[in-house]
Amino acid sequence: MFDLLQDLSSAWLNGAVRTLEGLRRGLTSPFPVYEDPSPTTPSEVIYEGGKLRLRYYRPVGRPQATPLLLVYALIKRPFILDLQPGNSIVANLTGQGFAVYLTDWIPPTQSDTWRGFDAYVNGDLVNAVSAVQEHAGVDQISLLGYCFGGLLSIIYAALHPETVKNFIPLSVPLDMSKQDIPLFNLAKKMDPSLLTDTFGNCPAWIIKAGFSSLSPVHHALDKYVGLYRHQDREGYAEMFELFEHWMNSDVPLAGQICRELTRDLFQHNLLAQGRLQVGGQTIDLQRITCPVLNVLGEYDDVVHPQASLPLTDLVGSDDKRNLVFPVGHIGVVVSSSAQKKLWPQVGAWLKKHDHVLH
Amino acid sequence: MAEKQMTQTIEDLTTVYKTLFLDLPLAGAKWGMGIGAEKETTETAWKAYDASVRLATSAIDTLYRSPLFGEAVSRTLTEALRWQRVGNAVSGTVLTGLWRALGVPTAAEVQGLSDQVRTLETRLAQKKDVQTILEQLRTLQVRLNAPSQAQYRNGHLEERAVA
Repeated sequence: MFDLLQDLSSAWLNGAVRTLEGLRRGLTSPFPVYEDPSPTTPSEVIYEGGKLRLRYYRPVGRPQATPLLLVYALIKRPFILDLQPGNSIVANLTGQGFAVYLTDWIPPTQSDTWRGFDAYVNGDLVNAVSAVQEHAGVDQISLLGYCFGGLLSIIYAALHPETVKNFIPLSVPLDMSKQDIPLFNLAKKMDPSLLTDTFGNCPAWIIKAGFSSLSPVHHALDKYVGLYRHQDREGYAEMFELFEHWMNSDVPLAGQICRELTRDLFQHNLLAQGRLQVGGQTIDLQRITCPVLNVLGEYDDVVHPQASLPLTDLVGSDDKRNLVFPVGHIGVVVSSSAQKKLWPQVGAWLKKHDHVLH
Repeated sequence: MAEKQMTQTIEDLTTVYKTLFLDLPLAGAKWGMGIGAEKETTETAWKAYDASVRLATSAIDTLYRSPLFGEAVSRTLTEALRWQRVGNAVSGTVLTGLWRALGVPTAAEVQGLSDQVRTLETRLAQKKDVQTILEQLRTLQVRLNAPSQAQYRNGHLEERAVA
């Protein structure tokens, strides 16, 4: 009993120190890129501009004709997609023959508070797609956007449909009227302008606090108890460390996009209603006519499945379907079941809509 | 949905009550008397723990959904942010002048410089990589162009007849 308490208190203390470290980093500066853990899959940066660094991962074996661009969220570091051998979406997809490109967003500084959806989508994402087109020698790409990155991808696909061959939104919070996550009740009452007027950008520590508040019992206690309970399971402690590293890798969110996200999407649900304006253009989801595979986690406690499901009804594609997998929000990218069952399905769907290069 | 949650909460409450006040003391007593196994006691304890975590999570979710709590948090945050702005304005006005007079840079200036240094550092690292590759290429080129040792005889380059 004494050992149990000692183990638990030690695990909890380590976690508290990590959280404080994360908080300190959030208060002082953006999460430095060089603190990312070593990547599992080798990559090369093929483009850097604006607030974007574009990484290229070479396909293994006979390559598919259409390259795949992964659009990651703006609020955490993207190494969760290439976490460890056997637990990397990037390695999984390159292993299936896809040339993978990943958006490695550069954290905004105080001179980037003006950056909104227009700058990120019509600026950085347009440049990223051009870089992929040039690098791979193609006219169209396959697009996969995860969570907030999925929102950016949806807006991109609606504004520039001619460049997208296949589209895979992954756990995207689209219809906020159905986002039945208790904490969102608080977000709906917040005035984002007051936050950005005070700090310029939305500080990383506020984003971290928001995520921790989604399930405080888990973050303060249960995950450490889980570590104790599964200490004998091979690789669990290593995975826990890496995962904690990612959980503390929050980066600030540019002021303008923070306002647009909170006010236009979370509070007024303009994207789902077809009334969101980006760069002077209304985002009409009916303009997305390419094949769409909408992937979501059945037990997602960050983006409620009901908030993602309406996407297939709103896009203009004929070839579209929902793929609901029995995991949570992070489980879609890091669980072993997703690696073994979900991503091969996603790869198979992409291959069905593509062909092998000769 | 709400009905399902309520059923789950009642189930968890019953589990916590039953395991804490009946199952756990019984299993502990049996283990103490040597007629029960440690595993049984541990499993009962974990069962109580899991149900307690679910209960606590459900209670917090109910609190989040409460309009009163939402209003209270929103007002507290708003007030905190207003005071933070006042603090920023005061320190910006008073301290910036003071720092200038003392010749000390402001936090924003240091942050700006630090950002620039980081950007330069990244660019330099990339250039260094390119430089290393270029140097390796040059070495390779020199090696390829240089005559091999076999072509030297008595320290002189042997002239080969061109057919």
